[in-house]
Amino acid sequence: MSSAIKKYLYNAELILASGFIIVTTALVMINVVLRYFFKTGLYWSEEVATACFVWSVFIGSAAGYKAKAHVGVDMIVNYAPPKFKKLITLVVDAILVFINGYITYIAIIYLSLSYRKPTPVLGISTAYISSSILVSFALMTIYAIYFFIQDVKGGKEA
Amino acid sequence: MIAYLPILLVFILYFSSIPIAYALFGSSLFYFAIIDTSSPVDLILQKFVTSTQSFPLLAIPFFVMAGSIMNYAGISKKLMQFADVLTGHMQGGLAQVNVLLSMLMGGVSGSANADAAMQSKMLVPEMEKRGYSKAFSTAITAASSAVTPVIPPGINLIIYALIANVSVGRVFAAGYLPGILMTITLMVVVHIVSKKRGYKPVREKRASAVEIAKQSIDSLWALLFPFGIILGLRIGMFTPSEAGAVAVVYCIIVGKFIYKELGSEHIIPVLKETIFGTSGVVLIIVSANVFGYYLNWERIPQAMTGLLLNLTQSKYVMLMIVNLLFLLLGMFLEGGAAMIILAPLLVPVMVRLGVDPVHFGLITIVNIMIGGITPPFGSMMFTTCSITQCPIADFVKESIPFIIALLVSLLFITYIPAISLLLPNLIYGAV
Repeated sequence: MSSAIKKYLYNAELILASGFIIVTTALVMINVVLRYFFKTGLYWSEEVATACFVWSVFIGSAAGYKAKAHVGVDMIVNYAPPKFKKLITLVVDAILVFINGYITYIAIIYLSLSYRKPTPVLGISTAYISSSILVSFALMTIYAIYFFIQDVKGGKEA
Repeated sequence: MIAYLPILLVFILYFSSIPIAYALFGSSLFYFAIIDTSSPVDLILQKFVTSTQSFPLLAIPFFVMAGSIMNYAGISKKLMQFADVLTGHMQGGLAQVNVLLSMLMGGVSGSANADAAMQSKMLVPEMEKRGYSKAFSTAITAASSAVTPVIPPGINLIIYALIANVSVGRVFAAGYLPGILMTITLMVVVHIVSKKRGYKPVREKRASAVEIAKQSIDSLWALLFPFGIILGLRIGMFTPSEAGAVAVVYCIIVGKFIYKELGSEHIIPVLKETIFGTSGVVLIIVSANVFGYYLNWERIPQAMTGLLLNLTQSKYVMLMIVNLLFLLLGMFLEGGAAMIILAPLLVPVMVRLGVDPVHFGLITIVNIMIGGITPPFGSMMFTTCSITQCPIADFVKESIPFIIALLVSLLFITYIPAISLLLPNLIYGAV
């Protein structure tokens, strides 16, 4: 695979999230212009803009997760005796796999129960919007597993 | 007692390096999967859906994007020159420029960390060249960045307005005077320290009126921006989220055609900052909502309200307690997160004691910003120190007078409601 394609694939979430946020901004702006200058508006713009925003946020979260942009405070790890450090790191990794995996699991249950519910304006399935949660947390579960494996492989005093 | 276990779990997870959103998710899920299984788990997911599918939330990415664009549009340079003609002749000139610039940046960017990072790169090296100590320069950069989010339009002001269910326009208008007060107290401290250490002015004498006029025309597009937003909100020309979209377009036009610094090479960094900034904050909002679902399920907010009101019925004592609580939490948690978690719990208590929720919002935001410059986990402290390579111990020593100055401002803001409420009441009428 060429490095350019790899780069696009690696940044796929960021690219998607950016696309969604651009659509959101454009829709809201167009609606302001239409209302002020043409005394009209797109009746569906608010719903679509919000849906794009939701997708952008959840796909963006996955991108952030991959880039380790969500930071925590590693006080316990820092003060732990060296031989426990690796163990704590692995436990933390495992907890994150579990949290992400569990949210993915309840997202599947939720979608299977609610996909028939239509959205208020366009009347399409709400699953078009809420599946973003499933996609996002499924991706984050995969990354969490990847980080776990990396830390298992990593040096003894990682 | 077991009902309170998830609260303890949040702290344990958080201090073992798990991001706050996941600490909140984890402990709420632990509760609903193990402690009390009577609620169907898919209801938790309902919280994910309802807390993100809200049109007002769109204001967050829009204002993050507008601020980011302004930063790349060369606005910081223009505003720095403007700050220089206004304060360069004072004792400790560059440090005064540093403080005033943070306030001016509040009108365009509104993110304390962005301001702290920008000034650490732009001003601290220049200050060191002119004989200011690294620790002093870093400390004033971090301390003054606490002013930036208080001046409208700031992301924290918007988030507070959304979670406390008050008017964004009112909260915006309420930010000005507290921000100016903080700026003045910091400038007084800079003056005292500079006089003692002989930090010189940057210009020999006060800039002439012509020079000031010239610089202010140059910065006009940035200076007018927040007023335009507040005016547009007041006359109902747009909703807060629409204001954000208008702001984005305005910033692109000013950056591209007036300052001519914005180029296509800035598109990717702007989008990246917007995506990471927004998804981080929104994920915390979602997790706080899920956690709030657990709290309400156990009726903990009611218990807490009762406990606080039992402690005291005096709003003055309560404000002091709440201030201490926020300062303490702000030291450990990233500012926005502390506010998102605590504000929904505390606003009802404050309203019951007769505190205006807009006033309380300003108290909250100033508090968490002070938390951002204090050890052990102040985010602006880390941002500035990591860029300027300043040892944390030196930073802490130099920042003490500034922290005292900000605490004094906080006392005034807490106990004189008019500082926050005068402008919103003038613009919107008293409630």
